[in-house]
Amino acid sequence: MQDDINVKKQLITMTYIWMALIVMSILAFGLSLLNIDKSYLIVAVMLLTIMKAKLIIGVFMELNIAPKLWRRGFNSYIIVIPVVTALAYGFA
Amino acid sequence: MNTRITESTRLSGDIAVWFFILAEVTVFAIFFFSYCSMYYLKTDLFVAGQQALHPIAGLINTIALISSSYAVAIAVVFAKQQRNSGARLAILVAVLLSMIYVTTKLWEYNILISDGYRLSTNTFFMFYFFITGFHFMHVLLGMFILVLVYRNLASPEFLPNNLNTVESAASYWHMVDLVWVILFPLLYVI
Repeated sequence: MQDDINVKKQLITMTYIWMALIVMSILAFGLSLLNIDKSYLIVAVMLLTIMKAKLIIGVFMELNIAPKLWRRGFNSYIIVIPVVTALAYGFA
Repeated sequence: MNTRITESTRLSGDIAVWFFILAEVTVFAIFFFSYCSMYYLKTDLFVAGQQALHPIAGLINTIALISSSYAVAIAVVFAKQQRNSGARLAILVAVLLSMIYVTTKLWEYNILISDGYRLSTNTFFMFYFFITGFHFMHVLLGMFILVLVYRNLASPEFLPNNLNTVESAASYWHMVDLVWVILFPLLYVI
């Protein structure tokens, strides 16, 4: 019984995460169709990318419960790559 | 009195697979940094190249891979409860969703090649075909691994001793999704 409740809870959490990921992807795509300033677009899209990546590694890959070193290592990747991208695109 | 609760930490899957995933992510990170450097140096060429791509194909692929990753995450939840049939069904859904990615990617490659774009066309298309092609091969490998897990889950004896295998396959698949989540805005959005 307790197992069933736990499974249900986990499935609901996963579903919310999935919906958030889809909404953020569509939002990023939608922003690119609007005629907004490129620098704002870059910052908004990269922030969305960082949030999406954080959800994937934290919840789907279960790094939220992983040893600190692994968690920090992967977190640094998903922050450094979008920041470098934003800088390169922003200054280009 | 020490009232601090120490939360048990664990890696989902085999540690060797995590070192492999770390190596893969590092390789992709180097590609992304190289791509960004060249974007900075040849902005006009890269912007023109991006105009030739099909952003809707990128969005379809993103939704397909995220949904596939979600299905695999659900398979792990079922696997932890030793529910073979639920895990199996979720893996099957994940493989079917990944086929949407494969079909859409091949469709986009076909259109670009018909329009005369090749790996040798210019620096942008060299990066585009190389990075997306490399990622595409990872998708195919991930699909193969998922099919193997799906087949093994048919046996009732598989799960009690092999949860690690399911988790490792899932972690690899999420890595493939993670790389695409970063690649999508780089190529199609900004």
